[in-house]
Amino acid sequence: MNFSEYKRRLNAEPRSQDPELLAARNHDARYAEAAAEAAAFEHKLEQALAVPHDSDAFLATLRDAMEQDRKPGKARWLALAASLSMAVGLSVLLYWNHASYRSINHYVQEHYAHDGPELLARAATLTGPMAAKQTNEILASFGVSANPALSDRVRFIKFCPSVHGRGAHMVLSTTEGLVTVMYMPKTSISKPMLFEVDGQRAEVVSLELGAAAIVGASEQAGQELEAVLREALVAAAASDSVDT
Amino acid sequence: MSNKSGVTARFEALALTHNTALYRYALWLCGNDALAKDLVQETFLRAWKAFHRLQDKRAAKSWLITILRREYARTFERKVPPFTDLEGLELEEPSELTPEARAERDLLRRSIAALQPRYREPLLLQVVMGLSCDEIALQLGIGKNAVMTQLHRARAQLKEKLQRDGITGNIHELF
Repeated sequence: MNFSEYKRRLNAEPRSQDPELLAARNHDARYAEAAAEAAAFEHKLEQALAVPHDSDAFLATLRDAMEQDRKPGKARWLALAASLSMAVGLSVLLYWNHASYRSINHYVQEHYAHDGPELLARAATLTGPMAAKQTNEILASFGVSANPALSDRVRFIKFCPSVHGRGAHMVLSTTEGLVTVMYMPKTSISKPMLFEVDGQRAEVVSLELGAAAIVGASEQAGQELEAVLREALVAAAASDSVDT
Repeated sequence: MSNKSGVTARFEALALTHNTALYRYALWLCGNDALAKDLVQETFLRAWKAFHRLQDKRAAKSWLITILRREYARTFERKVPPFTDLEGLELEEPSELTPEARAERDLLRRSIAALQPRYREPLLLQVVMGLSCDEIALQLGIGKNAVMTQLHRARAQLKEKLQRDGITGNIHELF
């Protein structure tokens, strides 16, 4: 194998244990040097690609999601989801253009169109609040803690993209029924916003940490939820000190 | 242990083994942390529903990759979002790295993100997922020679970028 071919093979398979490559490396110092350089580069490449990942948190979230799937009502949820699939399928194409949200209004519109109805349908099949542990874990990742007044209302929660980085998509129960809340922990607004989403009232309110869009609540239920969110979504340390 | 809990335990072991690599693969594929987490969760939920169909556990990794790629393709079929989010990630900073090594790693990350998808994806499948060239060829539906060419070009571009802009070059542009 000539040197040029050898280097090409190294670039394609630097970890290869092909006897032909090993023999070439052991036969000639120039080949051995190229192999050492390739191994060093590969180490850098592996380090660069090894972005951090919280495996424990992921597995906890996955277990909860699997548990939700096992509960009675799954068939009903699937039926509802199927009926919504066409709308979701169309909206997903718009939704993923997240990097170019023109405004918070635009984000809320597209996010709700993406999976708002589907998650409402899923939450509607559940008989009680989501496990407080999962709610707390997700909210804690944003540096906020949920009090029981909030976690008792959470029928569904998941991570989701927001205008600025990661956020949470929640379905909360109110006296009027289920309401969608999109929590944007890194978004700040100077004044409340009010608009329509899919024919429903939507408002974006400012919180101690970030902002939240409340979709599908009447003015009264919206005010009720806003108070709950303001009370609950505060910096974890501040919340702890109140508790103690 | 009941059969049901045994199946759950086997699936959880599978998730434990592969979730980090799949997350990294998804992240470098779509370039967005939250979307990558969603993709991986959806992958495992779909895998869980079809777990009874997985006969050969040695095929599990390829099976999961197939599900994730299908999910990614379904989602991004017509509109691929710009690869923009890596800059915002809080990436681990091993303490043993010198400032120069960190700068070089960051440059390498930006260069990987800038690779064309046809070069980046085989590289991810090889380095992150640990697939052989034959397995990558199967996943991507192309020949082994084409895979090797793409891998060679991917690394050649990254090395060229490092040599041009790396620690012997424009390192100060990084700060």
